[in-house]
Amino acid sequence: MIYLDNAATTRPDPAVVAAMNEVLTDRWGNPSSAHEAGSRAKMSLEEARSSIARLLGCNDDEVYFTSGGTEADNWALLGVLEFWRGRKSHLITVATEHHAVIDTAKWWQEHGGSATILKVDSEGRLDPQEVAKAITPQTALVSVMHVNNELGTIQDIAAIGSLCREREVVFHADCVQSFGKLPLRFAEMNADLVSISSHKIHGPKGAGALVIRRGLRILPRFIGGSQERTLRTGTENVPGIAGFAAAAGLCARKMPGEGEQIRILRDRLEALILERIPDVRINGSRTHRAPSILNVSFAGCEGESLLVALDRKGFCVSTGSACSAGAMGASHVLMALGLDVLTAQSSLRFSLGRFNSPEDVDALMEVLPSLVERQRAIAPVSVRGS
Amino acid sequence: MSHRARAEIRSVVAVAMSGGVDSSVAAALLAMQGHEVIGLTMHLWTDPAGEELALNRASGCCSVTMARDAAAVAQRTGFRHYVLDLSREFHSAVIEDFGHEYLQGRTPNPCVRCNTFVKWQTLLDRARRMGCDYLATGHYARVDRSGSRVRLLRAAHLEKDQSYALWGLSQESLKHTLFPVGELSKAEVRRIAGELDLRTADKPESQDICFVPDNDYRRFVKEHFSSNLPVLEQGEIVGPDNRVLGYHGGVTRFTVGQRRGLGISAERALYVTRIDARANRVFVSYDDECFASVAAAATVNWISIAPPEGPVECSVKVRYRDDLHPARVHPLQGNRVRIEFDKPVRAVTPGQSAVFYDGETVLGGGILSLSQEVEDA
Repeated sequence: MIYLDNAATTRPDPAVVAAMNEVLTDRWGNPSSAHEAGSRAKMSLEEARSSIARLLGCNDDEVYFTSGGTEADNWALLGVLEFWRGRKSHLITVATEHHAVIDTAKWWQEHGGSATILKVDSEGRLDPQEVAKAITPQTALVSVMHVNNELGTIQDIAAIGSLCREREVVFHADCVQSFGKLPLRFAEMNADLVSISSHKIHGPKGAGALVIRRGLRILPRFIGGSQERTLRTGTENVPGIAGFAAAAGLCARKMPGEGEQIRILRDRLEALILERIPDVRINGSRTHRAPSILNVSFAGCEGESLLVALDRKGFCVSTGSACSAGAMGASHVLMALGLDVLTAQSSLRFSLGRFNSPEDVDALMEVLPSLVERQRAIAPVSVRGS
Repeated sequence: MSHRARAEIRSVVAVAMSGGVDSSVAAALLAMQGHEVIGLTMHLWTDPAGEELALNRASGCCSVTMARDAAAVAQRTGFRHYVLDLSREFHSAVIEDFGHEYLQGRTPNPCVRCNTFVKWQTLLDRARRMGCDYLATGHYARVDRSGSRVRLLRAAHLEKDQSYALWGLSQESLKHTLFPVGELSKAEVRRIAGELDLRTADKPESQDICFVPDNDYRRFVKEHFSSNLPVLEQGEIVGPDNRVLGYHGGVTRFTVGQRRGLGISAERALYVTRIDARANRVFVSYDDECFASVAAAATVNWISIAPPEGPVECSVKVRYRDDLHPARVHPLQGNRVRIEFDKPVRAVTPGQSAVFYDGETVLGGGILSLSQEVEDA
């Protein structure tokens, strides 16, 4: 099996698994317990917090662990909006955001608030001035993702954050796809809230964090207990968090070299596709794009069918973001670029990671051109008649 | 036997899997025969209420449980399974037609539309694009490839025959179709499911239209469609001598031949004979008025024979559960036919399908309309 879907999730690094095993074996106490078993676990938890804070360049007490990126996004939005309820109720976000943000924005619109969903250009880039124009005295929060999970497009978070700061609007940056991959310094991001996730960086699933700038007012979503300074209660997922920290530590050590290697692989795949397969379209920005993601539309093909054909040959790729119901459908991100439905539905996302090699790219290119050709040769099925 | 029920060389076969026992066994049989099977479950419709109902009943289309059941069979048997979102195609081909037909006072058969436009058009296309040679379903029907023309045949066990809903298939579609359970009886299918320990072996039969699991068509049409015609409002029920006998609460509650729900007491039983949607009227009469010697059908499709020039002697069904009525089918212009029954047939219902048989062969079919409409055309 050749795995080319690292934007969906990543294989846990063996060092991460080892770190987690150690915690599961020796640090299994409840961090809130006063005794020796508890304090060992607490130590692991706080060490993890420190190492993640170090990678991001924020304070330890600004890192709040969650069950993952979706929870962090939900909390950032609803925790802030609920705090401002009655005084400010307007949310600004972008058409290309992850469902964890877009669906929450829709929920907010249906439950007493208002939201502006900003458009992007044909590469998926958001003009920071559009944010400035959309801000009103009612705006409580702006939420923009740093790197888009389907396209890899990078937004100018620092500029947007700066605008928000000037107007005293809270700014949330979803960095689920950028933390551990692009160099991030919290101080330079001008963000009040940052979402990050473990399983995108060769850590385990079920762990993430919301980084909350000191002094920011936000309401908790969980009630009962005092963990995470009472803002995110519940017994901590110490093994998961330890794994998250181990993964973050590995990323810190391997940056920027690993990112460059991955970029080279991605660029190679892109070049080979452009060279060997006619009538394709690269989606997203070629200039402001994360190093690991490649989104391509194959004219005349049906994306899901291509995915299945590749799956049968042992290649794991994606058409858009993974969906829990299992049904694949048209991507809202591609539609937001202005692609017509047919083109959007003829797209695949390839995303590379630590464990991919040039051989993986070559193996894919042994197979992909003929699968595309075969699809293009199929005439649409006629409805009736002889 | 010349029926060549199975593909002879190892093929790649997509199987439309509803999570039910028939399609599960169809998939398992193909896998046992050595073919590479790809299970496909279609996500067709999401009705929030329907999801809750589906938890309690076997019916309820596209519930997550359906996909899960199919996936469990796939995992147990050892083949791949995917869920495809065809809800857009389903909506435009099936749901819209369903509402439109009811609002016109007709009784549609959405399963026919789904088979013709979604399963054997969109789904088949996807299957081909995935690299599949065939699309298989759990329908009780058969395909005969022995002649120059591919023939659609009734199931070997007639009490389960589902060929009625398949009259819209083309030669091209049939060439790429397999019906693995078409030779089997329901009992055999359940037995195989039990032997293979497939989770769906004991699932009860799905009886309802998949997107209206509570069978309340009126509610469904009212919630999802609006109309300039007052068809969902109170209207007149008109008796055999053109007198108004009472009032109805919307024509969508009625179908030709129906006796219940009229709310009229009379000496002799009254049945619906005609629905006039434009005037929002339901016409009722006595049993002997419910028979027709002639019927008309439109959008006719000929499968097992080429479109005929002259009349065809055959047997005709006018609903899914129907006897075979000997008849002569006269082709008319524009894919229409006039059907002359040897003996009068009860409750010929506009919107339902007329399917033409010659013994076990399905010749073709069409959609029944009011005779006058065809004559006027």
